[in-house]
Amino acid sequence: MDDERTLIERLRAGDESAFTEIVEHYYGYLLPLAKFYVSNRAVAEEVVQEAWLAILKGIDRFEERSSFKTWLSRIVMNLARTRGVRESRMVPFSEFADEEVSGSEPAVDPERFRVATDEYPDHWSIAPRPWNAAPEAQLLASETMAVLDDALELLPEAQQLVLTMRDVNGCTAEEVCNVLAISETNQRVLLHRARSKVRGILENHYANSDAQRSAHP
Amino acid sequence: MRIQTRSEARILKEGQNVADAEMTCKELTELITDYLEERLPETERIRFEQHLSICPGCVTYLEQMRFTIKALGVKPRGEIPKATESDLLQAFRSWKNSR
Repeated sequence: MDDERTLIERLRAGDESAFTEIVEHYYGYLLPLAKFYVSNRAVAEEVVQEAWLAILKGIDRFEERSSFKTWLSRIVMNLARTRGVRESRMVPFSEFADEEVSGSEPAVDPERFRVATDEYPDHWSIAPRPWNAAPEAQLLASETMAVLDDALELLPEAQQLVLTMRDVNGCTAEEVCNVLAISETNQRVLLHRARSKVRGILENHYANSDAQRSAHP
Repeated sequence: MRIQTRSEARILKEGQNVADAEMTCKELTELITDYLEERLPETERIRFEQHLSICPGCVTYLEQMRFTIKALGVKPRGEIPKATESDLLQAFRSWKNSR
């Protein structure tokens, strides 16, 4: 992508290809933000579409005090929120975050560690086995992608959004904290819980497919 | 999976300067994101890495976390539906004409 400032200048000048580039670049990023606040993907898509019109109307007023990404995020989130499809979504993201970071939530099933009376308590009793049954290219194939999609859907919503922003869309921790208005600590706890769960789901998946392979060589 | 025998584990344990400071596997699984985010205080990072140097299970765990992150990063992102794309282009053109 062209340098962002140049792209914005081109967009202001009415350059259609700049618009297309920006839309393609940010669409996948904006959709999960909208999806957090509305009931389903179709509505989220409508919200994002509506947001692009608001972005065009507002582009002359965009001042580079905040990053372009943050500015886009705010427009989408405001629209999604006012849509108010689900009443529970009227509360700010930070309240969901507080809820999801409260209480303890072990990264790994406690039963996989040795008990307190053991000579080495809290060390692995069932250690993770390497996922080297297949070459990495194969692990990154569409099957894994389908497992990841399902895994993301299973996550509590704040964890799902933080993980999507960080690991799928490559946002920095700082960007996530700014856009979602959460503390750095909460951001990290949500990320940790989400990543740990997804690792566990992948582990189950590979364990099952290994078992199938050895049953039907 | 490689299970350490007790005697093996004991030798490793004696090799530690402060036995009490040894990190447990459970602790490591909870600190792993702070480690990957480079947010662990120096002393904790050292304990973390010392534990890794004696624990194949935790090395695997760390590899799996890194793989998970990598796999999420190559996951295809949401694509623009074709209809949306053409609607947006139309909207862009009328926005441009109204300026």
